[in-house]
Parts: sequence; structure tokens; C-alpha cells
Amino acid sequence: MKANVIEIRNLSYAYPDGTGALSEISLDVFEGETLAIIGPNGAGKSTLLLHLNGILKGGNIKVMGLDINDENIHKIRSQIGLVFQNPDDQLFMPTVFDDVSFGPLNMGLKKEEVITSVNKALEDVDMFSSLRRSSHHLSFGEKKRVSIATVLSMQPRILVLDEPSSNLDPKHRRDLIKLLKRLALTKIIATHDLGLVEEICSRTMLLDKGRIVASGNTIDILNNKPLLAMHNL
Amino acid sequence: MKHTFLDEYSQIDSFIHRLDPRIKLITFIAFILFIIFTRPTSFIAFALYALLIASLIIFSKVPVKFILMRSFTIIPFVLMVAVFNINYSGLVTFWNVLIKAYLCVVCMTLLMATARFTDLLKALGKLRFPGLITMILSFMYRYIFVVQDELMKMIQAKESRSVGGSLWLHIKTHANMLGVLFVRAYERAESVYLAMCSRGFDGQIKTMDEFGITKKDISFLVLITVLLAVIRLIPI
Repeated sequence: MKANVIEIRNLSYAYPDGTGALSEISLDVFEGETLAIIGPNGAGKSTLLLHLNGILKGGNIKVMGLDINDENIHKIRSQIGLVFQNPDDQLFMPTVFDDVSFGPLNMGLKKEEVITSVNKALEDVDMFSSLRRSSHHLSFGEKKRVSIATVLSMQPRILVLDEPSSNLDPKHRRDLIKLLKRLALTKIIATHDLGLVEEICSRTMLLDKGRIVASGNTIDILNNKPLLAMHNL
Repeated sequence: MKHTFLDEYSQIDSFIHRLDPRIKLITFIAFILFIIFTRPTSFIAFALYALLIASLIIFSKVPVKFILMRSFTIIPFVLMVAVFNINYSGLVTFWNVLIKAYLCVVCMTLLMATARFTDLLKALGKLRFPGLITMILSFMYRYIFVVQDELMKMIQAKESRSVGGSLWLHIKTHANMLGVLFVRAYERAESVYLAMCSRGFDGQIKTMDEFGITKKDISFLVLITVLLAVIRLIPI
């Protein structure tokens, strides 16, 4: 059994207006695996992801054996690279270089180290030639790739992606799948793109109305058509 | 999506473009100060200032037409201010406001066209300009066109469903759209903030630059300042 990198016990969360979003979630994520979190719109996928790096707080969550608290939060955030669904939210700096170097600079790396990790991250996603461009001038597919680079540059142990393939045309979706296959680190992907799940995720968890309704081998879950239909997938 | 630039022509390669952004910023601010503190009746001085800017424009390889178009947009506003200043002393105040405002705007247009906006922000940061203001400008630069696109899409969606209706109804709808645009911008700000926190934001944006002041930069600053001083001090 591989070591678990994330351990969630009894996580419940309600939005400030009282609407329940997550209830009684318990989950382990293991080193090196690619876990899919699937579920219909409004199932609580994004809310769950926001708990992983302490943006939302609650439940009993351990990341790399560390509790999420003010003391550990910077360490945890550098270990978990969370990529938001909308690249216009993820890319907030004026140029690609500034955006990709934002994380490493906050981690207090030295100038040369920052440059090395920025270059490496951009090469990983094939966007090195856009280093000096401003994010506003990138195409949607390019923005998505740079978004991933912004967290890769922090050299995280775990990559967390929210709807990575949404709004991408088929070619860019294929490129993204290839890219994700190439990245050898623990990945958690929230999506309702079942094709993508089938190709890259070893384990799948089905979330609906804030509850885990099924969890297990990807093939088993994707072949269980009645289950998927019941949860609008 | 269209590609709009705030800092069009800033990618050209010229002697002026290659200068250190800090030096450029200081030089142009000095230029503006000299223009402002010149007596309105020193007509020759203004002619020489104009000549100096013109030669800088030519050195910068930025199309003259672009500079003229950009700088003329300010003329209506300047005229309005200037007209209210016509008084007993005749046209001197009018001339004063008009020529100074126009020359200053040409200076700023040239500065914007010869440096990347992002480099100017970093230069401001290095010159100890308040971080909060450069941060606001930086987000403006990043999101102004995002918001503009959003508004355009809303207008298109509205037009697609607009069949008839009174003028008053349309005005009301536009007002509502502005409200929605504000709420969306506000919500976007929230998610951007979360994205920043996820990458270790601690209240201060850190950036890197490759600025370096060379002899060329210093000579440019000194040369321009000396020229300005000479023009200013000509006894006319």
C-alpha cells in the first residue's frame, strides 16, 4: 500500500447562506495516483477542491501528514497546486512570466531558482516561447496550459485541477490529456468529461449532492451505466 | 477575442525602447516639469520643446501618425478647460493651457509607446511608488479587456432578444446591465483573490525584473535634462 498524501475525515461544509455543499466526506488520496472526482453540476466538486489547500476550512484534513492550520498553510499551498477552472481567474498578472513566477517568488526562492523553475514549467506545457506575452493575448487553450504552468513552477507534490478540459476544442483537449499523462505526480481532477477520466484516471469517485455515492476503479464505475445515469452523467 | 493593446508599439526595437524604464520614466517626468514651469510667453522655448519631442519620436521609430492620433484625443478636454480661462489678460492663459497640456500628453504618449506597460509598473515599484497603486494599475491592465469583452457579450445577448420596446425600456436595461457587470467584476475579484492565496500570496506582490542602468541610460538622462535646462533658460 502506498502512502496516502491526503487524508480527509468527516468533512461537511455549508455555504454562508446555509445551503449544504458537502456532507460527511471521507477520502484518502495515495501517492502517485490520478484520482477523478466526477459528478453533475453543483455536486460540490469545486467546494471539495477548495478545502484541499485550506481556502475553505472544516473537517479533519491532513496533507502530507500535516494538519491544515495557519502554521502549515504556506507549506501545504506550495505542495498542492490548485488550478482554477477559469484561466482568467488563474492568470491575474500582466505577463506570462510574472504569472508563472508569482508562486516561486512567494515561496522565497532565489532569483536563479525562480528563473529555472519558470522555464522548466513553461517548457513542460510547451509555452516557453510565450514567456514575455501578456496573458490577455493568449488563446483559451494557451491560457489553460499557462494556468497549469503557474502551479508546476512551485514544484508541487500534488496537482489539483478543476474542470481542466472545459471549453477546449477537441485538439486542445487531446493536447491537454497528453500533457496530463506526461506529468508524473499525484493528480486530482474534478470534471464531468468522462472520456478524459477514462484515459488518465486510475481511480474515480462519484460525488452528488455533496455526498460520495461511489468510489473505486475507474473502469468499474464508468461501466456502471445505470449508476451514471442516476446521477446525471 | 480581439487583441487590444494599451501599450501598442512598445515591442519595437529602437534606441529609446532599449533604455532602462526607470530612466525613461524620470526623463519624461522631468520633461513635463520643465514644460509646466516655462513662462507662457516664451514661444521659442515651446517651439524648441516640440522640436526635441519630435526628434525623440523619430528616434523611437513609433509611427508619427499614431502619436498624433493618440494625443489629439485629449484636445477636446483641453479646449474646454482652456475656453473657460479666457479672461481680461486675453488669450495668454488659453494658449498657456493648450500648449502645455498638449506637449505633456505627447510626452506621455511617447513614453507609453516606448515601454511595455508592465515594465513601467515595475519601474514605478523600484522607484518606491506605493505598492497598492501599482497593484491596482497592474490588475487594471490585466482585466480591463476581460471586463470589456464581458460587456460586449452582454450587449450582444441583449440585442439578440431585443424586438421593439420603448426607448425608456432600453435605457433601463442598460442600467441593469451595468449593475450586473459590476457584480460580476466583484465576484471575479473574489475568485482571483482565492487563486492568489492558493499560490502563497501574503499581501505583497513580488515580481522580478532584469533592469540594469548602463552608461547609455545615464547619458540619455543627462543629455535631455541639459537640453531642457538650456531651452528653459534662454533669455527671451
